[in-house]
Amino acid sequence: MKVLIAEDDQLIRVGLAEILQREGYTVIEAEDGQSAIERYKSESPDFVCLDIMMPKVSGYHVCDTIRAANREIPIIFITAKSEEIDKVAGLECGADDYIVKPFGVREVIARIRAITRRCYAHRQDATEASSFTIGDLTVLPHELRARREDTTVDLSLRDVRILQLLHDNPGKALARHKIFTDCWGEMYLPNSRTLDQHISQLRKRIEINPKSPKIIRTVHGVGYRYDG
Amino acid sequence: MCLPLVVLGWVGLRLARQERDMATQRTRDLLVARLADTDRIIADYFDTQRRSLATIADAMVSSPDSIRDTILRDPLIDNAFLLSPDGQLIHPNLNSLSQRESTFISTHGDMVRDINTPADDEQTATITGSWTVRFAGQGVNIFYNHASPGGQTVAILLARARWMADVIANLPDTPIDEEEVDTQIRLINANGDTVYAWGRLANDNDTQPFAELPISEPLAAWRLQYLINPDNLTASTAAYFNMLSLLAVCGLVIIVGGLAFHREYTRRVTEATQRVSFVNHVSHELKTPLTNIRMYAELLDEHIDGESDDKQRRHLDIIVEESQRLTRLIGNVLTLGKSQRDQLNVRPRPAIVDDAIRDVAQLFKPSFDRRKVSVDMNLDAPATVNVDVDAVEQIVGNLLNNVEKYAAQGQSVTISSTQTDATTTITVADQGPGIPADQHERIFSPFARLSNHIADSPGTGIGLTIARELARRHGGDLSLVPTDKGACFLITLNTPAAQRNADA
Repeated sequence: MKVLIAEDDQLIRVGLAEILQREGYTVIEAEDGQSAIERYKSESPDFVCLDIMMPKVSGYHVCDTIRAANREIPIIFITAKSEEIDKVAGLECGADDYIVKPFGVREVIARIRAITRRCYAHRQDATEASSFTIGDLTVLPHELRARREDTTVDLSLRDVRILQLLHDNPGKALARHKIFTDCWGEMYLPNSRTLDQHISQLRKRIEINPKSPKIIRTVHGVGYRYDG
Repeated sequence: MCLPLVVLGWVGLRLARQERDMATQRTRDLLVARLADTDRIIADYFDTQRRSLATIADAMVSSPDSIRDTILRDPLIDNAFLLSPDGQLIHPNLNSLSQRESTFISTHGDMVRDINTPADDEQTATITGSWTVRFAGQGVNIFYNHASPGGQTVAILLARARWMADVIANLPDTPIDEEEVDTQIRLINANGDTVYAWGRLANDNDTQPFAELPISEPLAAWRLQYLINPDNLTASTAAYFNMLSLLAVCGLVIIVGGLAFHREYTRRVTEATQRVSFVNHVSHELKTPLTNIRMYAELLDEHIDGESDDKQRRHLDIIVEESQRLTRLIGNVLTLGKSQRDQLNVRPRPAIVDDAIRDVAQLFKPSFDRRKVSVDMNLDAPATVNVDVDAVEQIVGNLLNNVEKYAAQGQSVTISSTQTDATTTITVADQGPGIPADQHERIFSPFARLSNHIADSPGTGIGLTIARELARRHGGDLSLVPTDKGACFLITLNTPAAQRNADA
């Protein structure tokens, strides 16, 4: 999934990009309203994060422009202003949600996942039929959730991709670089601990006993495997 | 602002002018009345003469030979015509004219023809005759016309010098109102010359008469004039100018006052706007670095492998917490500013109060863990109600902040919530040193702290002020509940039920 981030403060923009990339999204950056509109047209993102106070063209204007072209695409405003009027205005001009600075990473993630669920719900290729079972876990990709009995776990986009990959290759040991390339879309560097750390975090959330995982098994020296 | 001033000025001017005109007219009327009195004096004189002249005329008719004698003896009579019923001149006798009579006829001879013209029946009916005025020679000639029952006609020319002297003699030699020393009444003849004047005028050059009255018959060609010193005349003009200048002063005061007020108002609006935009600008500027501190600390946190890098994680936690504290402080300051400008509003929206409490408690968890303060949550406000979640978080956050600062030694804090109908109640109770009874109200005042020594208690002293203000704006209140140990704060909020959000 592609996300367009329009934010004039470089640190915030880069930080947000990192959060979203960790979640598994492809991030397109824009540093002002004008380039936001241009990049929207050239890249066709799945949803948009807009800062309001930007040079040249404000976030409101970008929102209006994008809305005029696409009624459905989700738009989130990220801004320092918490005045009510701004909230109302932001939501009235067609934004779907509003995040106020300073925000926490978790807050951003929660909002982004909620937006993604809405995206899936709107899409024609709604993956309702694509829910699958892996171990005793039911994974619902379009909801970014996994369910075990009466427990629900939120998943990131990448989590879903990893579980999907494992599920589609039962019994097969998947090499690290393959998992990384498939789920990160990048070249895997041998010394990187990114994959292992991520698997470790994922296990903590979906395994009954993360220390003795049943779904994502370690294949030493190779990678990981789902036993089917 | 100019328009009412202009209208005021115009109306005032009109009024003043009207006033002046009316005053002038009143004065004029008064003076004309006085002139009329004078005129009556003159008219009375001529009336008296007419009666005696009637007798004289009759005598002339009955004995024409004595006419010359009568003329000689009566200083008022200059000469006379006597005409027979058929218009023949009996006297003067054209066969034996004296020098005087000769002059008389040459001057007024053509009058005989006029006299011959039969007069109206009405006119001949009057016993006392009528006046005729002729302009010849040196001015007005007054003739007394008399038609006798026998048909003869008499026309007596009055000696001008005599009747003029008589008239003047009858006129007062001082103005009627002796207080008016700066006025004059003039008797003006047909040529416009002043025949006689009485009164005293300081400056009688080029003075227009203030009032005028033509005299009654037979001196209708003459008139009386009332003259006033121009300075006195401008007394009413002075009043007029006084009113104008008063209006001008008023207008000036209004303009100046209006300008001053306008300038002051504009200055204040500009100041307020600048202050507001400064506050907004500062808050915006502060939030960006705060966002980055928190965001990058949390990103770093995720890089850390939990098991081996506990210390690093703890350090990062502190960075995150302190940035959150700074955020709360800025939030409080901004809220206080808004409250003082009376712009503080709560905006209830459908939400669950317990969720908000949990969120804010979560923020304090690391700090409480470090201080070994246990957090007990007895939450029973799960309904979806109309509530301003930010306000709840700010209120509870400020209370927990105080626990963190002052009551950490109590080692525990209990947060409870209940709901009835449209009210949500939240309590935050600690086991710290508590608050002395005499400070129970004072702690809610802005900038009040239990001790004024900065070293004793950190903080700005606005946390409780803000919390209470927000609670009150939310239709509730914040108060201190008496407890044996520690402090217990009670929050009530007006939270009417709301429709459950479809997108929870």
